[in-house]
Amino acid sequence: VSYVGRGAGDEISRETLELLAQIAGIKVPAEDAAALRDALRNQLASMEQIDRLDLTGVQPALRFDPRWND
Amino acid sequence: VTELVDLPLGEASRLVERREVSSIELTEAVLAHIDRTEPRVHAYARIFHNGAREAARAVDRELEQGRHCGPLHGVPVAVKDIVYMREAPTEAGSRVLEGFVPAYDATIVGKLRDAGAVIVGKTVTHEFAWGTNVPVTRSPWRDGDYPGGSSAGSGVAVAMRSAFGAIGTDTGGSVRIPGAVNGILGLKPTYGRVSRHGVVPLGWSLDHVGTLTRTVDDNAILLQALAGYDPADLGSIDEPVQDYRAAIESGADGLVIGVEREYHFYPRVADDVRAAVDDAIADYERLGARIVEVELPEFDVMPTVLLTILLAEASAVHRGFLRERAADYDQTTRLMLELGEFVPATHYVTALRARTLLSARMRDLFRSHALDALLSPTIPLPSVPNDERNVPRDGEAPFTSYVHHTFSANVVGLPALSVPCGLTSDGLPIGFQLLGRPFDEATLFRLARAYEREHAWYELKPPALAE
Repeated sequence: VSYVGRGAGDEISRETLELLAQIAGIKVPAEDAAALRDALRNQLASMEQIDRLDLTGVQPALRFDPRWND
Repeated sequence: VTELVDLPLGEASRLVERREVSSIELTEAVLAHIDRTEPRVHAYARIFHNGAREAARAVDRELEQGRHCGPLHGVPVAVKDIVYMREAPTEAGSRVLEGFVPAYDATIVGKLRDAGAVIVGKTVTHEFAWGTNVPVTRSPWRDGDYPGGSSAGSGVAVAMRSAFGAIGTDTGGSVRIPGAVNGILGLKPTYGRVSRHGVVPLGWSLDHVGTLTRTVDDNAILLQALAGYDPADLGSIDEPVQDYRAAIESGADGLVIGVEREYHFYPRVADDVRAAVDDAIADYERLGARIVEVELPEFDVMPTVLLTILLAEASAVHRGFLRERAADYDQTTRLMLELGEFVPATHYVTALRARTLLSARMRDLFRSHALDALLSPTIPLPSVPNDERNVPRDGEAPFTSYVHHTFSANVVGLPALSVPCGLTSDGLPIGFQLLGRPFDEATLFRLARAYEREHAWYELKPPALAE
């Protein structure tokens, strides 16, 4: 899929969006497509900011409690 | 405006307790005021004329029998229309939930009822609290302006005196922003402090229930009634609840306030906002607080971390509806939900790792300077006309600017309180934000009250009240 090898800020083609929608199992109305491609490009590009952080040894902020609390 | 509805919550409460005013008198005054002002502001999605009267009469009977539940007893309040109430639909501002009547009350509704509060109605929200569409609520400060969001109705209802306090929710600023643009207080408590059980979720790890009031004491009263552990909410945290009013009059003397300028006073901060917030900082210094200039370069990454988490979580919440009812969403909401479908799971987990790092950085910042709070503008701009919200100014749309300062508190889960601090030259409200240590809302109230004693901005009335 197109994420692999993409450069940040690259345009996302109509075909790529359609493929992503197919994989996700949603229908993207034609009226949403252009704005969605822009928003997706921006969102993926913004990950560069997070990637600049040194997250070595940092665990995700997840918490799961296996106790039965009901 | 009748004298009764213009009272702060705490003062109205004292009248009820002393039986100088009955709850039904107070409730009738609020309902009449709502009926008079709603055509102008549309703060309410639903008004409970009969239910509020029944509740008020029940409260009065309790008072006659010598039973008094505390400072909310008999006082009319409002809740945002994403909070479950058994007796009415919860529609979350969306056609997707049209007519949906929940089978149970939200935990916080139960707490309000236990405290004797009279719920007069449910307030307008942006669709599902995403905050992207234009709600029907209109600004009481300048018609056609952004009324704040997503708790738009709660903010406007309190500013208009059509509730003594209101419940909102805050996933990225949705209590503090309507607080700031409406000239009132908006508190997002610490993550886990107030139960979200029975509240329509937006992003589970970012959602908070918050409080909107005109005065600091009123906010403390409302939070006191809501705070506490709830095993029904997996995000709830079992931590002792402070007495929020015990030290509220202790002043700012000796407290330490951090000011970070690089991120929070960036060039987009309007001159009037910058001046008002700098004045507040000077006030605190005069009141004996120590002001410390601090730095935290990681503030820059907060918006990306929040959005990555929120997009993924919100789209998971709406996974079923997006596939079955897509046409029933406002397009702006639907776009965000579609976008969230395409956030890779690795990005989501990476954002959660960044969140751990940012929380640690914030902890280190507070500890290294012995901070009691960080102070900044709540939002860099006053309200703008609704049709200009998404029009870039100097490269950034106002809608993006509005969340620039508020996202951080949701990412790191710390309590944050927006405090009114004046008006722009155009007569629009300005607010500053106090960000505090985890589960230390009491210090934020103490600081806010110290400022409020110097500046009674809560006495200002929006122009719509005179119409």
